[in-house]
Amino acid sequence: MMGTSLVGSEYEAVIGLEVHCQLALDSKLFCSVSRSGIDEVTLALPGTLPVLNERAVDLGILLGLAMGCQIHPVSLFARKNYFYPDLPKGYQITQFDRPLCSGGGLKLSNGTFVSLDRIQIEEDAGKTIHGQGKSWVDFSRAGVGLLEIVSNPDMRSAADAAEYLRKLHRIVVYYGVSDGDMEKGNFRADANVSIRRRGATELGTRTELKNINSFRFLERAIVLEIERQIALVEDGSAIIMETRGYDANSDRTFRMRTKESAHDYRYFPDPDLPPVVVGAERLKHAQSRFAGDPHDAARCFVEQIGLSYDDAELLTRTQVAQLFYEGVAAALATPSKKAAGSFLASILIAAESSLSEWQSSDKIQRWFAAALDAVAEGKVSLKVLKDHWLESLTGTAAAQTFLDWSVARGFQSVSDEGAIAELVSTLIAEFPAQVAELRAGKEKLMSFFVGQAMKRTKGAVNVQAFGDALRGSLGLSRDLN
Amino acid sequence: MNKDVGESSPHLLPPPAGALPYRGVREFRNAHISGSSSVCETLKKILSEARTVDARTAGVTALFAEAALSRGAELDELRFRNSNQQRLAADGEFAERYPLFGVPIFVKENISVKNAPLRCASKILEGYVCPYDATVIERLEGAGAVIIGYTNMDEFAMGSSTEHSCHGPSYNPYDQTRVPGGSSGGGAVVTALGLSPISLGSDTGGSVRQPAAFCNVYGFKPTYGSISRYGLVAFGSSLDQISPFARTLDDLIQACAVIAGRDALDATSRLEDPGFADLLRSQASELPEKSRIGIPWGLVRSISNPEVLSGFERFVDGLKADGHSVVDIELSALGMVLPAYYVISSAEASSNLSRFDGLKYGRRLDAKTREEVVKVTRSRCFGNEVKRRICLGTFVLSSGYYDAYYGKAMRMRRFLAEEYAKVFRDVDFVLTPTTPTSAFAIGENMSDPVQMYAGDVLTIPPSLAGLPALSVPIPGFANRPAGAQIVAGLGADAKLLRFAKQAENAGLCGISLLRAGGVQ
Repeated sequence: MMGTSLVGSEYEAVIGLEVHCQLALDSKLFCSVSRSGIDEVTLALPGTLPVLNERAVDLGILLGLAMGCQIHPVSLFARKNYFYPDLPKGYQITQFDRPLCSGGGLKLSNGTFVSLDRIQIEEDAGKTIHGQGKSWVDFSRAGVGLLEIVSNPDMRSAADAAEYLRKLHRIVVYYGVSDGDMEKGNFRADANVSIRRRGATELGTRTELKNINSFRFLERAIVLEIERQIALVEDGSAIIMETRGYDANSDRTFRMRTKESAHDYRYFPDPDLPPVVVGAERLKHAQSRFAGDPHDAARCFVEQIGLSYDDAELLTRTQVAQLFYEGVAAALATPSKKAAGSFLASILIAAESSLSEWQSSDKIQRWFAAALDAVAEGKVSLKVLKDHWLESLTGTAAAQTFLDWSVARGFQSVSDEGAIAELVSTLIAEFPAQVAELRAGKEKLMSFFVGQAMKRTKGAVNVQAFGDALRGSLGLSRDLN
Repeated sequence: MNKDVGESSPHLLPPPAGALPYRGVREFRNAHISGSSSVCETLKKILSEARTVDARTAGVTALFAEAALSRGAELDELRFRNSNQQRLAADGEFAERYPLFGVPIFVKENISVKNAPLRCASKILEGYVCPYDATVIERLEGAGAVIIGYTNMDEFAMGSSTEHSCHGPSYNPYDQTRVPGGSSGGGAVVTALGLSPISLGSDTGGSVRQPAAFCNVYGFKPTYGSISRYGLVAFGSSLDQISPFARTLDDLIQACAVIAGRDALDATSRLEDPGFADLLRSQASELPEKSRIGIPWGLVRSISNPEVLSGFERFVDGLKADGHSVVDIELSALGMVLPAYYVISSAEASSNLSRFDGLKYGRRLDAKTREEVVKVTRSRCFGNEVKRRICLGTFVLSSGYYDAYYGKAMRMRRFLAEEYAKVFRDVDFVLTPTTPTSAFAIGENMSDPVQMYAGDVLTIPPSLAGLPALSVPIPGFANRPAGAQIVAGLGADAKLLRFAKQAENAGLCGISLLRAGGVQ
């Protein structure tokens, strides 16, 4: 494979990315129907009008702050006019000469600063599906809110581009701007790629790699495109300005359409939408949510609490998770903080949809801390806590169910000497063969009995206390472990 | 009904021949609430009268007989329950809750009414059935009104004569060789004929005020944003405003009080209370005020033809005699309003009409490729006037031309608004004729669009500036209907209507149907 690196080559690549990320809104950008729903506004029935979901602006401001952008006090929506069946109004509502944010950027590990041209709010189009000689249009995606993050052409390699995209993705997900689900196309990139001889200042003819929804594919597609362009130039051929796609199966880029002449989109300010005004109050509110780079928080968890790097990453995947963990940890003694971190990291993915509700509830944070205290004191096993917490993962009402459960269990019955003694004698009577083997020194049968004890108590047994009691009744030494 | 209306003026025009006797909102409502007639009886009568009374004027394009009668039955049931079984409210309170109880109302064919054949007088919307109600329709029905039909218009509200309609033209009820005006011509026709006390049109550059003047009724375009546009098929979004026609100001104010006010579905709707409801309550106790009126005499004299001018001057003399003061003003921007208006409204229209591609709804003509389907459908199903404006609008927005046309027109628009603001520091109202001429003959301007556009020169300025503007009926020369346009400052809608009401009470404007036809 040639050319994965241009180090030492006489060519350098010039790369800029346009990233579309789907906003984490309850509804579409300009109407109240659900994000995948269809209503008269989505279908652009005659007479319908757009009304901005203001939360889109707040999310855009948040990302702008995280990327160090200038947030403009007044920005405008514009109409981008073109005919396409999946564009129900015959124009897309986007931003043009007055975007929400401009400037800013982020720094790559090799020191390159990737500056941003703009961050703008716009709506998505529907999907055209071709097949069997016919075409269908699915309008469920039409009108969904997007942020478009446009970088300047500051990247010089495919690896730069992939790193930029990863970092941007991390920030977008951390602040809850988008779920960042790349498989669903909720975070996708277009890459503008050109090459030039090292030292040249003019830009070469660029091609655009469209709709790439994986970090790996982006890197690979850019590598291939740089190779293709170099080969063309070496061959004395011209590079044509065109839009290309990447096919992962054949690992090739392919021509989608040529851009013979720039399309005239006849942009003009949308008369249906008043200017977007970002006043001091609104900016202050966004700033209060702004918490810097999630990497720093992760590092702090590793260094100060002793969490594993993976757990720390998980706990700082979203700001909501981080805040919830910090809230719980604040109520715990230092050794428990680490256990709490591991535990929370282990349930995080399943808990994602409930997290923001938990995070905003002091009560839930206290229960959570109390439950983890109970684990630390050996009153309940981590496994049981996890199972029961996950079972009751549908919001506050369910969290109450969990609380009822833990109160009913008291987190104590399992440690109760009488209850454990009863359990031990039942198991000894029931499994004489296994008892004999354990007595004979087969230590691994200990885990068989622990397993049985867990099963009978639905996992609620204090493992340490049970082990001690079993060994005691069998006259075995207690400190085998 | 104010008993003064019409009595003191020998000048006011009677309703057109064949018109129904006057019945206002109050008469309909009170008859229905007292039970002296049922809503269904009223509707049946109106539905059958609509077919005969309008036979030669063709103002109506669709009657919603079935839906209206079923709605009427619901209302009768509601009233019956209220007065017999479970008394919810005294008649007075009931009337306050349902100020339009059983009042039949026609609306222009570009306002969405659920299950109605919304056509916008265009071939391209053939077969489209609207699945939702416009905000104004919800509000009217919430107040007890019954929507009984659609009225004719110029295709997509582009035109000043109601001749550009897929249904064919409508005719002026005063002279059927003449146009009723446009684009909301059908609404002026049905109101003049007394088929409904209120009807709704839409006004972008004069589309309600001009036909009101041509057909001897009131037409009021409120401050931009006072009435929700949700459900109104867009022409020039920054100018469009749903606007009522009525035969009396009482009816007009009642209509506004019901339909105006902030709507969460229209981001351009105003937050401020337009004050119509207050006006409705306070009218009786209101003392007459003396106002200061500005008239751009230079412009008015230079463009108005004598038959309009004589009626206008008589109206001004009446106002002076009534104690108001009149000053000559100049609005230098007026000379530039026509091009600015046609650039802006056409630019917006070219974009607004992009959704009619033949693919999603309405008519679709067959062709080999998708691009061809769009091309053929739009080329054959849009009328010439609509295509003319789409081409104009597309051109002025093209890159390279944007600043020279659209940008310049927008600057002109801001300049005009500032100039108006200055004028309104000195005067309460700006007064002109509504149109330079009275109704022209059918076909007269069809071959000369620029001549047609020039007729809008007096109604366009307040549209561009977003100001409230009312056309009041004044008789012109030889008993041809004409109109005077009263313009007020931004948001001063209630003040404007209060002033007009004084003039109506003084017999200076209005319709003499109140004496001629009597109140039924």
